[in-house]
Amino acid sequence: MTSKQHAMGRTPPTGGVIGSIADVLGRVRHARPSTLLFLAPGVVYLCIFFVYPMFLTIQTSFARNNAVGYTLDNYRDILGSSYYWDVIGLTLVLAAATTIVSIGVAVPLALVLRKRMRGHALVRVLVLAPLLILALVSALGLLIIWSNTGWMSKLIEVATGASVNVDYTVHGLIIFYVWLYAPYTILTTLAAIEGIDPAVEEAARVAGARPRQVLRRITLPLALAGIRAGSILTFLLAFEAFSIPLIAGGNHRPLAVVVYTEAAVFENFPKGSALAVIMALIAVIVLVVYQATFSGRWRSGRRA
Amino acid sequence: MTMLETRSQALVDSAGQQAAEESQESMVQLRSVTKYFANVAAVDGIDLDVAEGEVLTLLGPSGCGKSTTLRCITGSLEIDAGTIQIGGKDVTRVPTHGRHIGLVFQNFALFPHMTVTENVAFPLKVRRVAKHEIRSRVAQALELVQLGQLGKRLPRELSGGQQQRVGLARAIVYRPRVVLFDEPLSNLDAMLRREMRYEIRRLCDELGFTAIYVTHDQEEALALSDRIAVMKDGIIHQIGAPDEIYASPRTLFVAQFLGNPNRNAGTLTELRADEATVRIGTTTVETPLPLDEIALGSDVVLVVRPEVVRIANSAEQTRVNMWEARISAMSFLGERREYVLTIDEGFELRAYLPPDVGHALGDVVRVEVPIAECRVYPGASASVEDS
Repeated sequence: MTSKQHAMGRTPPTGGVIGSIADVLGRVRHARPSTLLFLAPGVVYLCIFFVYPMFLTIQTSFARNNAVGYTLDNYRDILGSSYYWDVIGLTLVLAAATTIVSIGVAVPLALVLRKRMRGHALVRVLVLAPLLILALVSALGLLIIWSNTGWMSKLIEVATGASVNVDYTVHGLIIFYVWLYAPYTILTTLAAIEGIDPAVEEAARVAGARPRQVLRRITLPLALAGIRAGSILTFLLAFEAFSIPLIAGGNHRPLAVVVYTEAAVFENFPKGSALAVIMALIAVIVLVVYQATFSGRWRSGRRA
Repeated sequence: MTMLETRSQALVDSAGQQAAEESQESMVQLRSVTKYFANVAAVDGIDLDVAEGEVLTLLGPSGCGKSTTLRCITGSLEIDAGTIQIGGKDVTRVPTHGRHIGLVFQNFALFPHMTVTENVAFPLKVRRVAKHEIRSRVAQALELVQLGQLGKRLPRELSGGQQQRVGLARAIVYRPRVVLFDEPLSNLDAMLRREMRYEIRRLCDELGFTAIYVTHDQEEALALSDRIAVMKDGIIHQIGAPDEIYASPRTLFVAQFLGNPNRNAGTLTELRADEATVRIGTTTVETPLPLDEIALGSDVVLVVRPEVVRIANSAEQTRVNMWEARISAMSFLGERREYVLTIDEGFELRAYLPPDVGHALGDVVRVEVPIAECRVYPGASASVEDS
């Protein structure tokens, strides 16, 4: 998606990830030797820390537990059992809910923060706070203040009369996830909305658009690329969350925790590996679908 | 009931009469419009009347308040005092989207995620105009700015000139009675600027809308406007037809902002019934009476446009305002030659002469400046340096 290409109108818009991969491969083919030299460290790094472990994981996922030879049993077991489908479902629900709530928090916040009001710098730092604290510590802290006897729950109970039971519940997990992973969405959304030329929004107002129409037809479509970039991070982090659900999830165990349980607790490495492979595949599918859906809409702007 | 009726009738009468008078007079009316930025008045109590169908230019250096004035008219800036009327209706408290005016931006400000067609259709869409009507009016507007073929392109796929044409089409497509231009040509190169200037004027004449045009480019202002308002420090120094302002600048600032006149510091030595005398060094210059009241003996600035300075031929008799001068610099500028003529210590005049006039550097010639072409403004020599 380099702006130069679009400016020249040479390459037709290609879809997200696949397009970028094709793009990179195409460039490598025509690259000069020095270019390949510069690429080498990155490629070696990827091979050692990503490709080889990934290969090992895939290989292990087809192995028999405590036996020789290869088998599809691990996958058959997982995909044939409603328990694992529930785990996958829970993981997706947690990640999706976290993403949606994050966007819901990020957009209004960005719209307010871009006006240089008093104290906006402080709010910016506060947004980053969750990233500065170790997730584990954060989770424990949250658990303490949000627990049924914690002051946050008490406060909400006093204020609204309703009790929020966050101990080992799904909505409790979502609250923790949002606290930890929303900053990624908030930061990119803020950058995207602040990057919009104010004259463009003014042009819309002068053209007769009400504030609501300006938001819907101009501001949000223009910020969509940034919102998407951040929310995909939030989604993936929430999808792969481990320490939070391990501590605060109770019986609600998403994929990462189940993988850990299979591999490290039950010492069934092949099954854990198969689960990990399935998890990675789901992540890739979500990534591709997400990018294709939104990028098409944003690029052509036909919807506006 | 009857009482109420009479009362409201009277109200309508007086208001109606007033409105009728004013709407006949002016399409856009500003009264004591004031806008502060952090305690500095960017616009300082401006009164302005723009007649229907008129092209009025706000001309001034950057920071003079011309763009701010425009933003007050669009409603993008809330004014601190005064009233604004558009089409006889008070819009001072009406939000931007309810003012129904067109605005052409310096940086085009097109919607980057929409095609050309969608950009131009936007004002109609938000007004909920019927689809088929949108299609025909967008096509018509694109035709008017000669962009009929490029409807499917995105703004970033267009050149600067094409983008500004889209901006124009977007500003006129909903047929606003008032279109504002905020330095629309300053991001384009010189050739294109000239071409677009005529195009904008043509659109104004063809569509008959009232235009308020902001620029710092005096040539653009002179070529385009029915009237020019010269602004500085948030106030209007002078308003009038281009030739009128050029010929009789009301203040020194206006004189030096339009054209590039000679400015020489001198002393007012004599005031008569219809003429005055200014001394510069040991030379005396006869001038018309200054517009402002100036005490004898005070510092003044003599303003003479280079095109009125002439070199007398040797047969001519020496007259008033004819002096000997040495050609101290000379440059060839294609359609003319520019001479710097030194008459006295501290008295130099630049003169534009035809390129075929054959004087050499260092020649001593006689120069004449007709009395009627001299202008005298109050001011010390310091103000000559500035600008």
